[in-house]
Amino acid sequence: MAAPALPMKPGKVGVEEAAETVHRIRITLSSKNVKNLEKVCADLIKGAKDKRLKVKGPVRMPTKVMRITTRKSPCGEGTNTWDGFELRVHKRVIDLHSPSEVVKQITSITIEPGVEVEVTIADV
Amino acid sequence: MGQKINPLGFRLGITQNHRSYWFANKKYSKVFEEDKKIRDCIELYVQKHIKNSSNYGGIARVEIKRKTDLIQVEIYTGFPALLVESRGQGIEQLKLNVQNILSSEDRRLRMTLIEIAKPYGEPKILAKKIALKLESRVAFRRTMKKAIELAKKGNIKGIKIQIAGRLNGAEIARVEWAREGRVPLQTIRARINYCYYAAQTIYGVLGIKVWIFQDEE
Repeated sequence: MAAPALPMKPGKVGVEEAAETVHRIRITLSSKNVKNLEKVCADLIKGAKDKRLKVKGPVRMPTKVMRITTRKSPCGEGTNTWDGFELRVHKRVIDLHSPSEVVKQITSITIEPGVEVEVTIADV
Repeated sequence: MGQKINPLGFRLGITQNHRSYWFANKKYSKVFEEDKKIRDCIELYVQKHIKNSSNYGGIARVEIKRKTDLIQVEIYTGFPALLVESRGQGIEQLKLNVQNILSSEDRRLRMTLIEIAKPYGEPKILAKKIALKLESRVAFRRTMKKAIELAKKGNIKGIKIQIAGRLNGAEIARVEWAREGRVPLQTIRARINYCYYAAQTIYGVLGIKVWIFQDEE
């Protein structure tokens, strides 16, 4: 049987083709909006799976909540009513094992406004 | 009685979208400041070049979306012909102005004009028109009625206009409002658009508030 052209684990750099060096790539997605974030996550993972990369699924970091609590009143008079404003930052982490060009392809496909994508490369 | 919350803020998650849509963590204040500069630049441009005694610009809102290297500015206007200068030039001048303001790192700017079908269904355009009339000393009750007539031409279910200040130059300021249809401010699923605009008259400032009830979710 001929050697499989598409290795299941591209991490094995012993294969004799023009295999680019595979990096461990961590994609961090942050956003204020959960729906957009989940959509970008799902698209990224689908794109990576289509290219048969090894993907560590979206790890959901704890949500950071920035709370600002202010008196509603401009003066000190009246019942002490308070406004509680919140800003929630959701963060997801996806790990891939793939050469860097492929990652650029994948991340350039799915970009929605309001989702910040950070890619860090940790060499194997 | 209590005070009323801004209906736009009240409905933000639900029937109202954010007008600036981006994410920033450490550079939040810088990006925020930039957004304000863009909006100011557009307002200034409209005031200087377009606004004259017979029209008032007609920009309803400016939406800014940021992706990693792209800034998308969408200008919703009721009268796009006013903003497009000579043929084929489009909004090049405006785009250049805004680009000069942005601390140009390598970010592309994309500016689009979006036309609104029924311009007088947008409270900002209506408020600006009322302001223009009031500044040229038309009687306020007549302007309110005419504005309501204009708005009713679009398909809206309710409109309320409130004008506050020295009406008709009176010494004692008061508040007057006119309503047509229903404007359910407590109903969150009601799509209500709101705008506040200040008209500068020789007697002082007249605050104009316009609520337009478009449809229910």
